Amino acid sequence: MTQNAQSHPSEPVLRTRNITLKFGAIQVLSDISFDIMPNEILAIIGPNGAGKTSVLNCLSGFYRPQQGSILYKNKDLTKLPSHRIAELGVGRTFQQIELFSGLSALDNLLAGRHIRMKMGLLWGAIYFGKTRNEELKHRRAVEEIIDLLEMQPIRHAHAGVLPYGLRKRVELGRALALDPEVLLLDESMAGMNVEEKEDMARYILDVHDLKKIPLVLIEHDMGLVMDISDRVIVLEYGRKIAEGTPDEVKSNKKVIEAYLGS
Amino acid sequence: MYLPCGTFNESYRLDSAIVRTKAHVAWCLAGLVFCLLLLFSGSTYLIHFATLTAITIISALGLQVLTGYAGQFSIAHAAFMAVGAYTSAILTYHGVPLYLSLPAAAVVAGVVGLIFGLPSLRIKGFYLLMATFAAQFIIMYIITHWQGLTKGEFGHPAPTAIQDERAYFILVMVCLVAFTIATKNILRSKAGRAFVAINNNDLAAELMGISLYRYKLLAFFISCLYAGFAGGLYAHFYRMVMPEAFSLHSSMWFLGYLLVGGLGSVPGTYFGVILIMGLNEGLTNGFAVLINIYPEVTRFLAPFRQVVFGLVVILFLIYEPRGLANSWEKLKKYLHLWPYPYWP
Repeated sequence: MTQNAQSHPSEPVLRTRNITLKFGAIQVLSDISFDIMPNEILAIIGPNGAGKTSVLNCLSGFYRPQQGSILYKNKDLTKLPSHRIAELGVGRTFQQIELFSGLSALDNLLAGRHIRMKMGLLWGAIYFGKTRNEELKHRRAVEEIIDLLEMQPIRHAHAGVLPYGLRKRVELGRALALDPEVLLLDESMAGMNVEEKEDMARYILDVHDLKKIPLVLIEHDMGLVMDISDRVIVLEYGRKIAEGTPDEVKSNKKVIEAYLGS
Repeated sequence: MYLPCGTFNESYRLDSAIVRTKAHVAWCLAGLVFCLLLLFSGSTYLIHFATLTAITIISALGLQVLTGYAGQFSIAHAAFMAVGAYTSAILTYHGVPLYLSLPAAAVVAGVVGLIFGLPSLRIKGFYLLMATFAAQFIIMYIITHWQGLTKGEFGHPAPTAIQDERAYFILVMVCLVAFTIATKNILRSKAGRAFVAINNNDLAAELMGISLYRYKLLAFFISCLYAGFAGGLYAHFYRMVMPEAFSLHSSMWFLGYLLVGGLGSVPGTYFGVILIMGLNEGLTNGFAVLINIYPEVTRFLAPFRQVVFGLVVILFLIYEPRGLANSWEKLKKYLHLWPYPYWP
């Protein structure tokens, strides 16, 4: 899973080069370049409307930048359809929760496991034998995620009726079920109280320790960002204004201006 | 998640089993006993009606996969059934045995469904409904006008080696069981979850690695596969296919079955078809009896039969929009604590 990361510890996992995204006359992202290094927690911060989510949407193929390239596993992600990007191992969660509300929490996770399953529709219709063995194998894998994220009591609950915090957790679980090699987390802790945020931060750190994969997270809570991230990128009006360790960014003049106004 | 006393999930295999509780086993046995009773009752009328209902359920299960699971609407389901019916009829007419003609009918209808499913890649919801509306008319136009192949409006004979009604009933029931199990299995495997994922949130589904293109077309294919197979069974049941059996009216009723029964539920499909077809049959018989006693009044009331159906659907949409399947779930929850009163 993380072979790539371990064999070349200093090589970036994913390179974003000169991404420019426009919606008509609106310049959303201009000339954004950054690398995602193996096994790091990279935070993207910035004021509202800075283009943080747009960056993630470009990475997961939901937006198509007009210029620039995103290189991952020798492929340009800007030219691949979203589901192919997921197949390459880019998992993500969403700012507005985008769960499959008609499925149970367990089935959401299993649906996240889609790309790791092989048995097609006809084998699925027959089910007994091969397909069942495959299903059980993946069930075991999904149960490990359920254990990790402490979702045992809500396993069979419909995702649509769960409270906000739990839905966020199911969404993280679904992204993990993909066995991602890069995980993009879009405001996993938005709208949570302190306790829930601490729980979520703990889950994120657990995932990071266990999976040894790079995490890209968008977050507004500065204290939290400075605590858990290895590197921070600051966006403002679609431009990258700073990049570095939390301490470097904290003392960067431009960042202070962007957040406090000049 | 309710499990009755004494039923424990001791393994993941048990947790995902279809027949899990004693009640499930009892229902299966009840179904078997019901079929045997029908067979030994010797009533041609009842067997006839049960066969027709079972064929309709097979077809409705197909629409359930498309509309209930994958959320793609189709108002051409009867037309896809017609494709299967004509395929099987023409094949058997030229000497192909039934066990080959039925699968062939299913596959041909599936392929036709794939073609008419292509618009689903661009449009959804109401717009897709209108696009499949066109499919209904195009298919039926071709069937009525390609007289060299289909013999047009006068119908095409569909000969079958199975002459005995009871034998045919058994064949249809075996097919019904197979298709029911397949529909249940689809939902607990990869493709079914992908279908529901597309239905619930196509955007997230795509970003989770589910190819919308592939799975939407697959849903159309499998749905029309069911329809084609049911169409074949239908053709050989009457030993004749007529184009008017597959009108827009019956296509709409397939959606009606799902709405009344409950979208996305296999038992719901059964409930919906049995309720509507039973009601139809009951009213027809009722009027047949009444017309001898009160000829004038009955003749006046006869057109209101359609009104009753309209009313049933409207009442369901208002009071039980999630269909009989939901009522059934509520009843089970209620009985769970019976006799202690608790209404969730």
